[in-house]
Amino acid sequence: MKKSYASWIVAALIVAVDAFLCVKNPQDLDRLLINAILALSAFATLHARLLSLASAGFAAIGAYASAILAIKLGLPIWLSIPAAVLACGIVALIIGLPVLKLNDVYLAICTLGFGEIVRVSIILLPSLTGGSTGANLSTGFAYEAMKQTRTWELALALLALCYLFWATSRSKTGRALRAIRENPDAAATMGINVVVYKNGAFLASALIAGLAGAFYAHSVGSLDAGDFKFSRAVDILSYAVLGGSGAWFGPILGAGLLTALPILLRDGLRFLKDFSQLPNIVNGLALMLAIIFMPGGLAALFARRSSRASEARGEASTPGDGIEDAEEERVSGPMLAVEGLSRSFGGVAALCDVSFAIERGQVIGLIGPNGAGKTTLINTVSGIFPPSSGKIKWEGREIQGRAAHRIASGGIARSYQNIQLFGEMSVLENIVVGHHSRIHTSLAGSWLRLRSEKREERAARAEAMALIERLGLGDLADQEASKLSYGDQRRVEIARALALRPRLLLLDEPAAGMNEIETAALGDFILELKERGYTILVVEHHMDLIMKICDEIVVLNFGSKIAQGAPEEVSRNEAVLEAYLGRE
Amino acid sequence: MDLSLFANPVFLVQNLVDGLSRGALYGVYAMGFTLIFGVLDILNLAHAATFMWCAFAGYLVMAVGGLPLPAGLAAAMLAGALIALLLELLAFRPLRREGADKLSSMISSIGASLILVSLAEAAFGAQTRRFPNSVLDPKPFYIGGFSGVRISRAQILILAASVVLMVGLGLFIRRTKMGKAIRAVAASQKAARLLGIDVNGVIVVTFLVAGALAGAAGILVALLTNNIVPGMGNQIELRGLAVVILGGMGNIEGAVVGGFVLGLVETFTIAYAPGGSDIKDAIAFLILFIILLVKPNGIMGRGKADRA
Amino acid sequence: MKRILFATAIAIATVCSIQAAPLPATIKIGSAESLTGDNASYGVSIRKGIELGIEEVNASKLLGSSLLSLAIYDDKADKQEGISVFNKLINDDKVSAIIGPTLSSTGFAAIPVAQKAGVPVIGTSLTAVGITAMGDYVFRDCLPQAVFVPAALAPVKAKFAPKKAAMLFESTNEYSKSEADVFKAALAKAGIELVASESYSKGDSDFRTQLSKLAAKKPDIYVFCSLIGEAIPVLQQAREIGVTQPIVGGNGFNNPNVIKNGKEAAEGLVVGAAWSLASAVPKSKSFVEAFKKKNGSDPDQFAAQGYSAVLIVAQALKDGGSADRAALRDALAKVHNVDTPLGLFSFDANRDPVCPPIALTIKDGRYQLFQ
Repeated sequence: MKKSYASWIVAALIVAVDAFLCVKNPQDLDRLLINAILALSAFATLHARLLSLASAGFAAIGAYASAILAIKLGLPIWLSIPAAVLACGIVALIIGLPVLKLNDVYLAICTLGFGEIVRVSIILLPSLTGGSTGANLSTGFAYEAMKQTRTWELALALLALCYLFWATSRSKTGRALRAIRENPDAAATMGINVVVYKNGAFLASALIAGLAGAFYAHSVGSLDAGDFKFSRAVDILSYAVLGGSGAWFGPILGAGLLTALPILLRDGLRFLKDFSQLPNIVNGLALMLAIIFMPGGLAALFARRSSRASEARGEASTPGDGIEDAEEERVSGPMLAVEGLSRSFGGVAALCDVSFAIERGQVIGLIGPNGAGKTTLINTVSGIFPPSSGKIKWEGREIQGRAAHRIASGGIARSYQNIQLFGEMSVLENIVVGHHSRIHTSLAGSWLRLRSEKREERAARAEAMALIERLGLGDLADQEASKLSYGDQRRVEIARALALRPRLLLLDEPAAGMNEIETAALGDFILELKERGYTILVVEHHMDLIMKICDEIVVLNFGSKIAQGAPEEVSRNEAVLEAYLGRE
Repeated sequence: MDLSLFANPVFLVQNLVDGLSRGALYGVYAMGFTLIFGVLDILNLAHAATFMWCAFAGYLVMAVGGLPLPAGLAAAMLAGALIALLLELLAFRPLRREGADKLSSMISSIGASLILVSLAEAAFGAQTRRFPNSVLDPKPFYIGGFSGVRISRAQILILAASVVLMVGLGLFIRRTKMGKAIRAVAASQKAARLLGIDVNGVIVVTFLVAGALAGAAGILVALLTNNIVPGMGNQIELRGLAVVILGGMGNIEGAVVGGFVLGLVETFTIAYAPGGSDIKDAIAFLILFIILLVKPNGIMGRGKADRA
Repeated sequence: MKRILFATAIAIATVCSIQAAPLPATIKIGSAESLTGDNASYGVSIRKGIELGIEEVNASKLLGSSLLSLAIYDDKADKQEGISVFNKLINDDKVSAIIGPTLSSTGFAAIPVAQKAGVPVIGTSLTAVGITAMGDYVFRDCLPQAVFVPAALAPVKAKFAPKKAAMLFESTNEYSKSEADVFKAALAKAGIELVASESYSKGDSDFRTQLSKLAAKKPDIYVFCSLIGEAIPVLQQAREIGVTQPIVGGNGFNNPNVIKNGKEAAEGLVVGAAWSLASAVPKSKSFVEAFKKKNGSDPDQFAAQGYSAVLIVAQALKDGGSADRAALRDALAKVHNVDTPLGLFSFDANRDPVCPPIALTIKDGRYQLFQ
């Protein structure tokens, strides 16, 4: 409570200072609004875990496109700005697909390179852009066509964006983006199409940056390529990082702070007129201190929004315990068949020609010494990476190489050996992520706040809450997942997998870190799931648990299957004993 | 394409010499940058400002103090190590303690960079500083007569330095005990700590080495270009990033090779492409763009465990 | 109708009363210059010139008991910051006139603010085409490139009769690029063929490749358009690769540092300029001396233009007898033959300067008039 109190003071202070400066000098308002929009553009990508520095480049495209349309074609700005934004969108779609395959720093550099290419292109097209001088965009009559300050429209655009970001953050899309931000692999195995969301975020960022750029052009009234250089890209990123990439209002506060600070310093330190660098030094110092003392940015100062568990509890009108009985079999033959599956990493074979099948309703144990390839097998089946060779048949259809989110929505859910929860999200929210593919309201629907969305969300929350209570986690529903004990986190992982309503459940060492009582309870729970029609593949080192719950056991060693059969059978198998005990 | 130029072997060799020395300059700069990335996974955007301060340190010692080149080099490397140490203690370590993400470190380094550049502007003014000719004779050598290939002393120096520093750093990282500790920390700070390695101590050493490299780069670039201004870091910063990516993040030999590649590409674009000097910047980044898309880990990219 | 007449009468009365009023005790002059960042060398020079000018005007009692005071801010060579600073000068500091900003690109963004508010602006380094076209409150005391740049070419042609020229210029800087365009036009007019043209980007440090390419075309003269940062390395590297032909430099080469740092590489260089240390104008000599005494270094052209701008404003204040912005504008438009280091200075009908350009050469380590 105290935390959020302080945060409101900080926010109010920033707003007050900005308001004061803008009253004093109304034209600074344009700058503030444009920076805030640019900050949102950076946020759109950062929030989706994309370290993109492309905003300055897109702002340049937006600015020049709108200016050129306004001057050369004489379009009014209410036409030229949308056209410029559209141009940014097209460019983003073209470069997004290849570029977004890159991670972290590589993406950063690549998008920086994009910005440079845009900047150099501007210089190289003097007939269109005025080249490095930019002058012919801003002289004489053309200047009148270009300079059209539209502070009200600008403010309106920012407000509209705020609404869209707010509505998105409350929607299925917002949740999916948060999940991707925390853990893209786990998000994919929850049925979220990570590629589409990342491209969407990149596109949104480009459109918003283009909008800011177009307004910039008309606000400032003259352009040259230097307006969008590297340091601008860095400034924009600073707004978003200092503001915090966790919540949409953070970057706006960040922009507010970092726009106001240099102005305050300029006016406040003017008595030191022979030390004109001082404001910049203080500004740099403030940036450092701010990020050191608020590593999560301004947004992190605010208390996390409650995930409304109590509300969901009250709404748990759905009968049952949140666990749906598994659906009836659709096809004859084994449910999952793995045929000659191999996977190697840089020449080292982690899986070698493994074949086995799982019948519906079975619980299969997958055991083997460390490094035997158990997790690799689960990763391959769940689509984290494709096999090097071999087939995976799911209900008769080959699914090897399919994207993880498609496999997940096809009915295969998994848990992870090393816990992969969405750590900063609440337990309830973690589980609601599992409902992703069953919530059908589109993003536009969320923006319109359709009643159907409210209904779907409420139902998902209620169902998730029931599941949480069934697993004995009811009191923890509002907790941040990362704050839970190890054993509780494991249970949340299983609950999250169940929320997908899978027909096949892949559990990777579900009992690791649990004590005997917890392990025994887990065993009972797995057996109950089996009774309700679930098919389960479980990797475990607890042999007691395996012997108790499994119908059949598959043993891997050095990537190859060395045995398969009923528990007693396998426990007497020479090769298995050798592998485990290292007998000659 | 200007075909007559292709037929001219002197012009070709000349471009090779110019391109390699241009590239050596990028490579030396990028080595320290990539070292910090390899070990800590952070982009130290204050590296360019460190580099600039070192150029000034060398300038003060040689041009103002009148000391010879080795003293200038030593002063620059010392200054670099010192500034890098300050950066580690003031800008990076507090964030590591907080367990903040890597973006925060980047922002912190941006703040530090702003401070360093502004301090330099305040201390040295905006006017360009230049070495007197007594520091390093600007007259080039000519190979094959006056119309032959020319190479200046500064070019020879930077080519030699880039190779010496690359080999030296490679040996340090691979052969010495500290080098092994650095690699261990690069692979996993947690594991290194379990092995009893003083992680913070190793990171300090890493920064000292990276700073000294920035120092060497600063003084060499200053000698080659003879143009020392507080903004000199801005110009090389972007190219440094490009080179680091080309060579594979955290890969020291890669940084030097990447530097040579970029230097040669730029020089040959200027020399042979029509309107080449206009498009060289775009070409450099276009190539980078394409390489990243084809080989996302750089031309000499390796796994993280092999880095640094 | 009656009302309008009444209002007009009041307006006329107000104007008359303002003009009749004596000058206030302090008259604020504003300035926005690039004092930090890559363009600080220009901004700082201009600032030193302005400050010297204000000191001298105040000491000379030119304005009677009225004193000039300066409000100067860093525009960071940024358009939005330029706009912000202009607003601050106009609304907060309530200046009578603004000198600056440093760069034309900032000027295009910020000057309309002053034009709209009716505050006179004097550009001291805004050489781009179209600056004074922004409005009737916009003046400049720097010659447009098209006027002084070709001044160097005519005597070179007379002396060396060149047939082929080669050019190197910075393509990422508006000043150098438009200077290159001016040179191209002037070369064509003079009947000298441009056989090769190469460019480089801001911050490049190695120009040997471009220069070798130019040399391969065996031109009779070289034309270099660089700013001061790159001018000296360009010159040195040109000599290094064996350029012995005459070199004509752009305005960036009109800087004492070219001689100081370029040494023998600078010998024989020809530049066209609006002002130079070698200028024979008497006021220029006293300016150079006073500047040296105050700052311990030689002034450059930017300092001279900043200094001159103050003298011109002071003269207009005296002539108009009013610190009112509109009155000052009218007085500025009428100033005639002000004694400045740039020569006897007046504005033409477009508020551009009327003063003769000069051609200089570097000989024996000094700028001298080129004969």
